[in-house]
Amino acid sequence: MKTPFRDIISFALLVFGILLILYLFEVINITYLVLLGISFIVYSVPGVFFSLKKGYRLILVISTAIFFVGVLFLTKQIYHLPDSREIYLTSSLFILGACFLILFVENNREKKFFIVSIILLVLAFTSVYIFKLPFLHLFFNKVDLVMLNGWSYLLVLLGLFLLINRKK
Amino acid sequence: MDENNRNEIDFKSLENVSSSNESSSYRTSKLTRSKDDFILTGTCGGVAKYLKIDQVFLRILLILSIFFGGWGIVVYVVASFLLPPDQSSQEISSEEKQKIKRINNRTFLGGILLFVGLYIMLSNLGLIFYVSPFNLSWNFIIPLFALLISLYLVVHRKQIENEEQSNLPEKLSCSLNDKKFFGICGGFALYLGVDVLIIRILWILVTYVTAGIGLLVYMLLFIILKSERKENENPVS
Repeated sequence: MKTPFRDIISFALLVFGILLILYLFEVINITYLVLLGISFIVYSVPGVFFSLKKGYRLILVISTAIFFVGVLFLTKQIYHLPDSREIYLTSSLFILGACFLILFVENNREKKFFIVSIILLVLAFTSVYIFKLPFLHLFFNKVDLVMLNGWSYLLVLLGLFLLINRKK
Repeated sequence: MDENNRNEIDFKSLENVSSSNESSSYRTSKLTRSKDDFILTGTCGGVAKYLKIDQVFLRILLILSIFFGGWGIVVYVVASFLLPPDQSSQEISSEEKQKIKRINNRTFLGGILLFVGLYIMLSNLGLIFYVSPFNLSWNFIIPLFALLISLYLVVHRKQIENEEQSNLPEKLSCSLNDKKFFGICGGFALYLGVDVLIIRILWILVTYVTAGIGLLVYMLLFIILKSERKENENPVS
């Protein structure tokens, strides 16, 4: 792990630990989701800054994704958003678009990242309305059923695949 | 007299050999934290080296111990603070280091996916028992671990030694050597400087989460990259 990122992670963990202890002793009244959201943002803002400066693209993408996951947690908790599929689908598209956009910011000669990010961001914004169309709603409901049931099996399979192929 | 002297010399030389063997076996059998084979602190790498087993078994055991009260994690944290780092002068080549790093990254991601998958699976089946070490609440253990890891990172903080600017390619292109379909994941792996297998796994997950839109992005990128390659091959004069 690169040195500034070790420091940033240790700082984010420190913030998380302290906030959780304050919550346990009822000094502050927040939920786990808000705590995670704050810690994610604490990590990702300097993470994006340093990786942009140093040109570490992988950490840049990961930090951007973590930032938006943190924002999603905070928004979900503060605005009491329901636990529905549309939120996750829209957010995933938005986060994916943001990751491509940050890759374009890092290297603005790569216009393809901008094109892909715009498509994904537009898709994310319009998905709120698109998924309300009857045929798409039906399709995504069916996909959702398969996804929810198969989610854990897919994760286990992919994990085992990685572990088995670790030396290849 | 001469024979006696010779015997004495032979005996001394034997003693020297045995003592040198002993010292070398002592060096190799010392329990330390590995400085080359690490994911977090190198404890698993060091212990696996000591026990002469594959470190992945220890790491999986550590992850699975969370389902049985998390004692493995407690032992790991304590061992990380107690074990000294490996001081042996045996240096390994940078190629070997890269190989170990790649294997460890795959083990780490694979372990996390396996843990999350098993956790969801067991929760759905109602087989998760919330047992915790010392019967302490997880609400107390989680911040404690967070603070301990933070402390560990601060204690073992390395000096910033002129960290080099990353040396990644300027352009994203389809990989010609490392491809399963169109080489987009291979190209991305090169562009981001990461293992191609990890990119493939992440792409599958993203495709799954976005109900197939990840696949559309893959195709879109392929079309853009293909048209770019054609433009480069036949530049307009």
